[in-house]
Order: sequence, then C-alpha cells, then structure tokens
Amino acid sequence: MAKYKKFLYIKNEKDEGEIQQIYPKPPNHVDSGKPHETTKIGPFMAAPILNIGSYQLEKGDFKDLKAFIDRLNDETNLLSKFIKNKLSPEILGSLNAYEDIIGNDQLVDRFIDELNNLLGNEFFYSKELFRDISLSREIEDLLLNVPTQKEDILYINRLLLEDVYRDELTKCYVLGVIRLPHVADGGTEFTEYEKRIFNYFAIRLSQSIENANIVKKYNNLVSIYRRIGHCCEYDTTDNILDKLFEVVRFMPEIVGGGYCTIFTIESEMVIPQATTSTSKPFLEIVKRSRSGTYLYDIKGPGLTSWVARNKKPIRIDNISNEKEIRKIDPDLIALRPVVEIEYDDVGPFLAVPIIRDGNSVGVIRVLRRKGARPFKSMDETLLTGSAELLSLVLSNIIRNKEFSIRQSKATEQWLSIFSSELVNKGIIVKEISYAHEINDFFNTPVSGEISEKIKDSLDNLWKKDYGMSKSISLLSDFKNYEDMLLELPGYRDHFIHQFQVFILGAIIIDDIYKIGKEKNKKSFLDFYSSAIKEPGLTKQHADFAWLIASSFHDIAYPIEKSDKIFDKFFSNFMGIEESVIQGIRLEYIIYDSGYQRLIDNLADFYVSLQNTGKGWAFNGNDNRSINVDACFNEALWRNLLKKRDHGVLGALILLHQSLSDSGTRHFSTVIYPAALAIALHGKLLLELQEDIVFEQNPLAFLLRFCDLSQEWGRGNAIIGNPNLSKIDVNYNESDNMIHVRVEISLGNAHAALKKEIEARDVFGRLFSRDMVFELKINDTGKEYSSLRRLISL
Amino acid sequence: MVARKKKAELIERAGRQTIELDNVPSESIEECHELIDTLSKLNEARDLDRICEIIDKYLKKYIKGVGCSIFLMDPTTNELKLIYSKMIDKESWSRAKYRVG
Repeated sequence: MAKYKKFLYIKNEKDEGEIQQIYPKPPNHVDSGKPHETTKIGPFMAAPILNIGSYQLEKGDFKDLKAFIDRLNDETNLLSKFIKNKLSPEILGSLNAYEDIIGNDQLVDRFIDELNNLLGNEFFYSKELFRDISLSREIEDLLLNVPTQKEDILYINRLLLEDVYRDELTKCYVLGVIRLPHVADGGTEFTEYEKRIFNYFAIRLSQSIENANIVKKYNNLVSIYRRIGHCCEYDTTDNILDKLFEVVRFMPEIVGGGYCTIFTIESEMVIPQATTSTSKPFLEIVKRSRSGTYLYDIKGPGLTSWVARNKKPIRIDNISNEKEIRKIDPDLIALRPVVEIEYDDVGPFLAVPIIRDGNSVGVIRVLRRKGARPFKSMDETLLTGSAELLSLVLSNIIRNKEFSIRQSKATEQWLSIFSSELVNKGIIVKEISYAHEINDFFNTPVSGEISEKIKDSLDNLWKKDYGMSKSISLLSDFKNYEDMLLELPGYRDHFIHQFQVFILGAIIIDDIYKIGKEKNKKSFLDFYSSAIKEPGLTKQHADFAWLIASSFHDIAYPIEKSDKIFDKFFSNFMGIEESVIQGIRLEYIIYDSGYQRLIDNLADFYVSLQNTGKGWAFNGNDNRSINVDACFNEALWRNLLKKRDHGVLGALILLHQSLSDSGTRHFSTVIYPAALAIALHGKLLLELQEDIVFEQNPLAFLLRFCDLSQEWGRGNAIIGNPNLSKIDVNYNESDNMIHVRVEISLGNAHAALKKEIEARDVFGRLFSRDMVFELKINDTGKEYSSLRRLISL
Repeated sequence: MVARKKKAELIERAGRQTIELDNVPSESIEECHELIDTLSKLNEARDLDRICEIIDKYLKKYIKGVGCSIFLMDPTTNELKLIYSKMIDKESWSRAKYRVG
C-alpha cells in the first residue's frame, strides 16, 4: 500500500481477487510478528500519510514556480502543451508573461485551482503524450488499469506530473500508513463519509507527523550537539575517535534517518573516521575504512571529494540519476564503493563539508536506500549546523595527530641526540641539586630547536642559586659563533656536547650521592670538600661547580679556531687559499687585559690541590711547590700561546666573566675549581707531569672522564653514529668501592681507533683511589679503568 | 439529504482547513466543530505519543471500526514500522515490519 502511495479500500480482506484488482501485483507482505488474524477481518481501509498531505497541488509543492511555468511554456513538452490547452485564457495569458503571476498570490491560487481541477478530472496519460518520458516502475504498474474514480485519476496524474516535472515539483513520499480494519462478523462496509473522514485524518497526520519529526530532529540535534561537545572534552585522538563513533551513530537521526560517515581530510585524502553500516560488523567497517579501502583523493571526481574540495554541500535525490549529478558539475561522478551500504542500494545522498578557518577539515555524508524519501533543504541546514560544531572536534583530531607526529619526531630526534640510556637515567635523578630541572628537561621533549631548550635550561640553572647572568649569556654567543665553526672541516658540535657532559656527570654524581647514602660511602660533596678544603661547603657548591665546569668547558672553541675562521673568510670571499692570519700575539693581550693575575691564581689553585698540605689562598700559600707551580705555568703559557688551547682560554674566560658577575664571592668554593677543571680538560692535561687524581681534584677528573666518554649524538656521515650503551654506577662489595662504568659505541672503525688513542692518553693521566671509573669502547671491546692503572703502577 | 450534502461539503472544507457555517443544520455544525477541533489537535501534536492519543480518543467517534494501526516509514531501511495499534496488542506487533516494494 505504501509503495503505491494510495488510499486502499477492500470490502473483505480475505478476498484475494479483490486485492488483485486493486494491486496489479500482490503487495510484498512480510510479517515477522504474530500472525495476522485475517479470519476476523472484513472491510479494510488504509491511507498513506504523505509528506505533501494530499495529491492536490499546493503552493508549497512547487520547488520553483517560475521554473515550472517555464516548463509549461516549453512548446516541445507534450504534456505542457496538453495542460496549457486546458487552462483558462486569463491564466494562459499570465503564464506567457509570468511576471504577472509571480508574486500575485490571487493569480497563483487560481492557477493552482485550475491545475487541481485538471488533475482530478482529466486523465493525463496517453502513450503519445508520454512517449519521451521515462516513467517510474510504480506508475507503469498503476497504468495497467485505467482509472475511473476521481481519486484514482488525481492520484495517478499527480505521480505523472512529478515524473515529468522532477526538478520543479516536490516529490511525494510516504511518511507512514494509517490502517482501519472492520471485524468480518457483523462488520458492515465503511460508508463514504467514514472513508472521507479517514482520509482527512491521514492528511492531518501528515502534518502532525512532520511536526513530530521536526521536534524529534530538534531533540536529536540537541542530543548530537551534546555528544559533539563531549568529544571536544577528550584530549587524545583515540579518545575523540571513540566518542566520534557515538556521534556518527546518532547523526542520521537529525535528518530523519540514513547511514552516516564522518570523514576527515588529511594530506589531500578524504578519510572515513567513523561510520554506520548495515550488514558488515561495525568494527570491521571502521577497520577497513581506516586501512584505506574507502579513502578518496580530494582531487578525485567523486561526490564526497567534490564536497571537500569545493566546500559546498551536495544533495541528490537519487545517486543513480547521472543527469542529477551532472547538473551540479559536468565532471562529477558517483564513485563506488561506499562504506555505508552496497553502492547499488544507495538512493538519496547528502554530504556537507566540515569547514574550519576557511579550510575543509572533513565531510559528513548521509545516504539512504533507493526509493527512500529524499533529503530536504532543512536536512542540509541541520547537517551543516552539526558540521560547524564538528569542525571543532575534527580540528582537535587533526591537531592531536599532527602533535603526535611532531611529538614522535621530536622524541626520535631527542633520543638520537641524547640516547635512550641518558634520557632514561636523566628522568630518575633525584639527589643532585638540579634533579627537578633535569627530570623536567627529559620529560618534556620539544619539537623545536633542541639547542634553544638547552639554552633556556642552562640559563635557568646558572641563575638559579648564583645569579650568574652575564657569564651564561656567553653561551648564547657561543651557539651563534658555533654555527660558523660548523662550516670548518671536521668540526663537530660542542654546544649540545657541553650539556650532554653536564647531564652525564650529573647522573654519575647523583648515583654517587645515592650509593653514598645507602652504603655509607663518601658522597660527591665529601670528595669535593676534602679536595677544596674550604669551610662551609655544601652540595650546592659542589653541584654548581660541576654545572659551570661542564656546561662551559668548550666556551673558548671559537677563539681557538679563530684563525681558521678568518682564513675561511679570505678563502671564500677572496679566493686566497693559504693562511693569511699569522696568529695573534696573545701574550700582549693577556698582559694588557689583566689576565696575568688570574693565571697566577689558577696556578696557585692547581698547586694547592696537587699538594696534600695546607689549603689554598690568594695571598700566598706557604705550602706551594715552586717546582709544580713553574711546570704548570710553563705548560699553561705554552698551550695558551702556541696552541691557543680552548681549555686554558675557557678557564680564563670563566674567571674573567665571573668577576663581573659575582666578584670574588664564590671564587674559592666554585669558580676556581670549575676554571681549573676547564683548563685541564684540554691539551694542558697531557703536558703536565702530574696525574689528575679523583680524590684530589674530583671536578677536573670527572670533567675529563665525561668529556672523553661523550660521543653520542655527535655523529655524521664520516664518523658514523656513536651511541651511549650504558651508564652504570654501583657499589662493588668485593672491593668495597663505587664503580662508575660508561660503555659507548662509535659505530665506525676509524672513529673507534681514534677514541682508543684518546682514551689511552686520558686514562694515562686519570687516577683514583676510592672509586673506579671505567670506559668501554664496544666497537673494539677495549676497556679503560682508573683503577687498572693503579694496579699496573 | 440536503443537510447531508452540506455536511459533506463542510467536512470537505474542514479537511482543507476552511469552513463556512451558513445554512448548516445545527446538529451537523456541532459535529463539524468537533471534527475541526480534533483535526486541529492533530495539527498541533508535536510527538508521536500525542498523535496516537488523539487517534485513540477521537477516530472511533467518526468511524465505526474495531481498531486502528499507524505505521511510520523508516527511511533508513525503507520499512514500515508499527507505532500504534489498537486491534492487536502493541507488544506482539512491535516486531512486525512491512517492507515496501
């Protein structure tokens, strides 16, 4: 009955012959519930509840009255010609100049009345009139019997009109059916009056059901808005996607039913993120959607891609109607497959873009089965409203995905520079004064420049307890100069390296503090205090001395390499290949700038640490060894003048800068120990006759050990990809000592050999009594130990 | 007969929401008013429960049937779904589906 959209009256429902007469074919009757008790049923009537109320034309039934009049004026349209011949001269005249009729309500009413009169009285169909019109199957079925009743003529005429004037008239569809059977026993036939009343109820029901649908849509809209809003509260992409599945399930409800898919646009692809489906399991569909089965290229010819690309909605009554599709865009085609249902089952199609900041970020698509009622402009409006809200959610998804990609790239970069071993150990330091800052540093990798984060971090640490803002500002300058140094052949990064050395040492110091507490062994502060011999030393002094020694130790590299930089300028700009810079006479600069006193004090400090006697003082040390002092001074000057050693220069820079930062306040407790460690980490160490003993000068020892070990993150195509395999600090019961062990890989035989030579030289000068420091080069298996040297001695 | 015809015209107009009450017998006018009220109530109904309530209460006044069923079309599946039934209890019919075409 609903199929034929027509009032049905049967005297006796048991009489199949009667039904056959009414229906050209028996209705496809599916009843999965309780069997229909047909034996009790006699007269039966049912009326369709139509979207248009009744088959008579009303103003609202014209999608475009002007276009309809244009079609009527089309002389080649046989039905138009037929209709026009039946209209009154007055209406006919107004149609020829339709500006007379458009906007003239009275004239329009009369025109519609005349059309309705025709609809109810003149049967339109003849083979001749409809020879060029393709009629729907339903009408072809109905035309098997020529209608005689006025209602039947009206009904078939209306359907014929809809087929001829598809674009101008609203298509009638069934909202529902109202049915009224009589009991056979004693039941009388329905009277004409009852039939009429029944039809009025059906007509009014169409209005009330449309109203109810609107209210339902409104409630669903509120509900879906809440759900979308809920999506916005979720902060991870997976959580948002889970919530989006709930949204997509309810999305069709706001347009009165259908199958829905929500797409996002990423990398020029339109990707289904959540969908409803029919036969296939929901999760399987989602999995297939995400795996790429239903992806569309945004530049492709399909409907969904068009919506995404043009940021405009598409509403089509029937996806199989190519003419309807081509009307939107001649190049447009409906692509198969679709995720929601089998492509061949798809009828009405509605898709709206999801736009954020002027860009398409997604598409909402709703489909209905073939023969189902088409979407209306109100549905498009409702879906567009939802799309606006959904744009917030999709922006979050896309942003989260981009963030996640950035994060994973950042983490990858992070680990390739710092190594997972250093990061894993760095995030658990807790005893050293900077534990909290180091934990934070590794817990929040950044996607931007790592050197910027290092700068910020060091800036914060240098100022934290001692306010050394001027000295730390040199680090920024150093980073800028290093960009020039990186142009020199063979030069490797030193800015990040300094920070890595700081972290490595901080991890070792932290572990020494931890084990010291647990095993009642000497802490780093104990070693530091007994070496420096200054009263009132705290952990902050020892830790800060390590911070500035490690993070400043290569600060003078630009000066050491200044000749080469200048030579490069002459080479690049003037084509002069030989060295033109003859070496600056540093001795005059040192004398003239007051550095001599700093050098003398540094020598004094060195001597005081090397001797086990009295402490060190600026104003003279009775216990100083003239011989050691002379040797140190000579080696220092030699390195300074001939080799322009960045270690010695770095020490002088620190001493000089800290004078302007904090005067002599922390000279003996922090600055001189750090400066000496910096001075000794370069070539000077190898030229001295004395060893660096951990117990006598823990800072210089640790700096040289960490500087030697730190290679990871400094690789390049030539030297390979060095890695930090292990940092292990533990207490060894057998020798009752703390062992510090670092294992590295150079990833290249040549680099490993070079490192072996350096390690042999450095361990030739490093010596410890109460602790063991070991370095293993995994590439060659060679191990170096400060204790082994003791044994060999 | 004349009154009956006038009444029919009246009802026809009531169906299309306009009515002229001149020359209508008083007993018919009352019935017409009631029908117009009923149809207006239907027009104003905003949810399916209310629609079913009106049908339940008023339809039997005009038509002597044994019951009534209302089906709504589900556009997703293109199936008619029973939303109201007076003849056979609603529970047993709630699973019934009438497929179109």
